Amino acid sequence: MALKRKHRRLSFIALCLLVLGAAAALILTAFEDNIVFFHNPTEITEKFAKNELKPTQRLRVGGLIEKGSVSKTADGVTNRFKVTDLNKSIVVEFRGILPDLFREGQGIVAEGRYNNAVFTATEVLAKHDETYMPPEVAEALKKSGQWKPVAKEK
Amino acid sequence: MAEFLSMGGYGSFICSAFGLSALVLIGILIQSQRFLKTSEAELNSLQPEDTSDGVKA
Amino acid sequence: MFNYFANPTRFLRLTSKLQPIAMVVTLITMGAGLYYSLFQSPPDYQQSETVRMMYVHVPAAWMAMFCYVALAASSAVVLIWRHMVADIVAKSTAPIGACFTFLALATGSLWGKPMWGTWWVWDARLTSVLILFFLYLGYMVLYNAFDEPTRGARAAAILAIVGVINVPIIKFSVDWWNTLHQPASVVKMDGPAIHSSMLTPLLLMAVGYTAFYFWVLFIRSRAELSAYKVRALRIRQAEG
Repeated sequence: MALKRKHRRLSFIALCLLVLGAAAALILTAFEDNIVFFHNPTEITEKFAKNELKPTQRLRVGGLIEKGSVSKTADGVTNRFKVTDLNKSIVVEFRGILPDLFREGQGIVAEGRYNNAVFTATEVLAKHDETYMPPEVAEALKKSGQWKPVAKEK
Repeated sequence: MAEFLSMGGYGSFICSAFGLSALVLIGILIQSQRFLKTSEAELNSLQPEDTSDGVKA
Repeated sequence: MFNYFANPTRFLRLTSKLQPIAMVVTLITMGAGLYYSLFQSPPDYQQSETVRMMYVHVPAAWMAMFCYVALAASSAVVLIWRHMVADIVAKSTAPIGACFTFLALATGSLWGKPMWGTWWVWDARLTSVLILFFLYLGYMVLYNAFDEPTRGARAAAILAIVGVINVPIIKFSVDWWNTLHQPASVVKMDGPAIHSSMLTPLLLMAVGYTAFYFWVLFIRSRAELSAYKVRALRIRQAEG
């Protein structure tokens, strides 16, 4: 009798967890657009083409800084660079302090508004990848051609 | 030494991270040991004659 | 096996015996880990010296999740088998897990400022870990919110089990959604993405943090057991 009760409690808890898990999965899928921290340039250009996003909306764009795209605008203080997902790229303009990790090829996330094909950012954050190694090893890998660039930015 | 402490200009962040970790971990360790001492003392004061159950340190 | 350890006296004897072992393992691995973290490991090719914060941040984050799984598992035993020892393990684990979670958040913030350029962002990883911290706090508050300890224990156990849904969300948040936080470096399909010179201090610290958890768990469990006996004696005195 006592054993039966324990079994009932066990299966009740297992069932509850199953239902809760399914509910959580549904909710998280439904709110995916709010959970993602940034959109990549392809998504943003597509959504603007379909009018799903508007120039007045604050949004974040994430991707890699395109090689050779970093420059200053005419005023001499605004930074201008392209963020790419290796498919589409978006021009970003930003006045302010760039993070220490900011450099060509680096992943970044910029927050601001997209208007007239220019993304005017109010904040630029650096996003780094999950590989860690000493500088000498990175150097050696690049020399031997075994360097695998992280082109995985979604 | 000064160069080691500056850690390429990030010394304050690194020291804070290690210092805070040490502080919190040592803090919970000391709090736990005090908790053990007081609860064992209370138990012993309630049953001073009984030492057979291995509760006494 | 459950029934063997469910005996409080046996549990007490076991924890008293294991406590010094956990202490020695903690001191040795953390000592070596600290030496490697601060002196014997190289700077990172991207993040230079700040990579050293990984050696306190990542083990704290791992233990935050490990402790929660331990909390939820012992809470399940509390609800299903009503074992007093499981209740003691759960109650003792919660504050330790809360400390680890706080450290993961705080050291992550200290690491995020110089590298990402911000102390905090509301991305899926950071937010889900903050929820984990609130789950620990909620567990402790709920446990003590009832006059009758067993009711508090059961209410808190239910919260702990419901909250376990958050653990896989934390783990996979960086894979499921775009986040500012990078994906996993060590526990991943195609092997660690960390050079061995940096993996050594990380793993040493991870072992150290794990041993530290057990060390403090054993101390707190013994204390909770004594407190439990005090309560039982008081009730008997009041009745008798």
